[in-house]
Amino acid sequence: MKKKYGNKKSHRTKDWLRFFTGLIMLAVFFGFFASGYSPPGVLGKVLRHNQANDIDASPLLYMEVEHMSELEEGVRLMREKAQRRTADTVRSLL
Amino acid sequence: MEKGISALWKEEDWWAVWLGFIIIGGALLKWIPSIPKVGKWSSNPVDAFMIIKDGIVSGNIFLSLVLLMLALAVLTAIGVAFMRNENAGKYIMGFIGVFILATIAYWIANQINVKYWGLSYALWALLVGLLISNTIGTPSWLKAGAKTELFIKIGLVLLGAEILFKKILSLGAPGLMVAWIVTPVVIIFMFNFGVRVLKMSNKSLIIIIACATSVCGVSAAIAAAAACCAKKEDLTLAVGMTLIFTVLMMFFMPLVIGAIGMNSILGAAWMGGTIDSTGAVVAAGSMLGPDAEKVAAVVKMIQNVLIGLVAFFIAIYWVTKVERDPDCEPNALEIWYRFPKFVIGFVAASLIFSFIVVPAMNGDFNLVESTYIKPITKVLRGWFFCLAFTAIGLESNFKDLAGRMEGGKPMILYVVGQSFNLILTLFVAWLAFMVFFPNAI
Repeated sequence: MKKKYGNKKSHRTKDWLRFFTGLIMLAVFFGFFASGYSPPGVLGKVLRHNQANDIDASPLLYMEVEHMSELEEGVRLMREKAQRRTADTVRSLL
Repeated sequence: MEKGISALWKEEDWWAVWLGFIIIGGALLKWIPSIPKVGKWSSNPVDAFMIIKDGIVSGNIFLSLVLLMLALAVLTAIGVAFMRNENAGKYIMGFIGVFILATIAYWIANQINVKYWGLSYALWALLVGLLISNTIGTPSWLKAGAKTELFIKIGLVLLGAEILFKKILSLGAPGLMVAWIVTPVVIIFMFNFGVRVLKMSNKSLIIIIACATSVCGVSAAIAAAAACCAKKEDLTLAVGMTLIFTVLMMFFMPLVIGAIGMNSILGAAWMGGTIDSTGAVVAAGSMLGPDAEKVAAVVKMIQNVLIGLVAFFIAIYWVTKVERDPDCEPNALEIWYRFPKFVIGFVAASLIFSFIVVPAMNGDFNLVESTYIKPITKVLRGWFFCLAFTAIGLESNFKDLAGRMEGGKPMILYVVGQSFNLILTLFVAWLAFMVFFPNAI
């Protein structure tokens, strides 16, 4: 009985050791990304662009993008401009 | 499966609808104040919990976070107690633990440099949960609060409020061509490729990966998984793959487009149709210039609107084809019994917001978004998804995940499907923006 209890205790110790090892790995993983490091050369180009322009690349859906309504408005204006351009071209041809 | 009227208070799907609509109703009636969310932070971790306006700290969100935790615990406990006759007290204790872990995941994800990498809360919530379940094991008191399916389904009903149908016309015909023609074709291709060519036995995993690849990554994966009642491990696997490939595509696609000198609008439409998450699309589009950023984001937005329809059709297909009894033709009643009812709540929320709430506010999308969606339903949907991913992590183990790899077939499916998606989207975007509607933008 005592031996069984001892085994259980050593299992728990191993589990906690694994937990703390995992915790350190998670902290290192987080620390790497949080450090502001960006890969050198072209590989880090997008990341440096995000840092310079404060672009949040994490949103999953459009509603989570902070300036989404500005982007939508921008597309609406682009389309209006394109329509005017087409109308002008047609008028000039006629 | 409850077949009588009691299903209305015994089935998780119905409870997701009721709880989701209680929240939506509360938002519309302005009974719910704005919901606290963990903020961005740079070097001081405490900033995430501070209310900062114009650089000045005006308070903190600790008390409102505690109130939110208790409110959500009580609200969901009512459903849990009715559905399973479980001890509500035990559930609430477990829920508090899951909520604290979800808050930690949000806190990690909101570090500013982590956000630049495009690593969302879904990844960190999974990792935090997996760390516990695969080392010390998830304690039973914590497991009692990890109601993954309920959190996902409530989150999806709330997501319905964000899916506004009129948005699909934002880019006119070319936008629709890229987002709505390619997407179903890729889903069908990937499903057939997985079933017939790779001969994968796990059809749920195939459809989740197909939706994540072709629609919009994590959110589509959640919706598809819930619609086909997939196992948590399937969702974990698909989400893991989509998160990794999203970062890779965000890094490489703008470089390739720039290197070959592709037209920036065509490149933007291509990225909007292929990169999985909206944030990564915006970041990659921004590399090509301000106009490209707008077009890429709007193409992705149009694709986002497809989530509801995709979930609906998957649910129908699963009930009538995949999980049907091969010996008998399912009748309408049987289909209804087995249909995941939360999908009805999801679609209903979308229809209500698209065709009642927006017109009632004179068609002002921005007003609807800033009054009801952004401060309330969107934030709560985020919390429910974060809780769900934490719960998934707490209930998954690496052995089960490894067992689902089927010799790397899911990875092959993703790579082949995404390659097909890249080729087809480029072709259709070229047709739409360069051939059929060259003057649309």
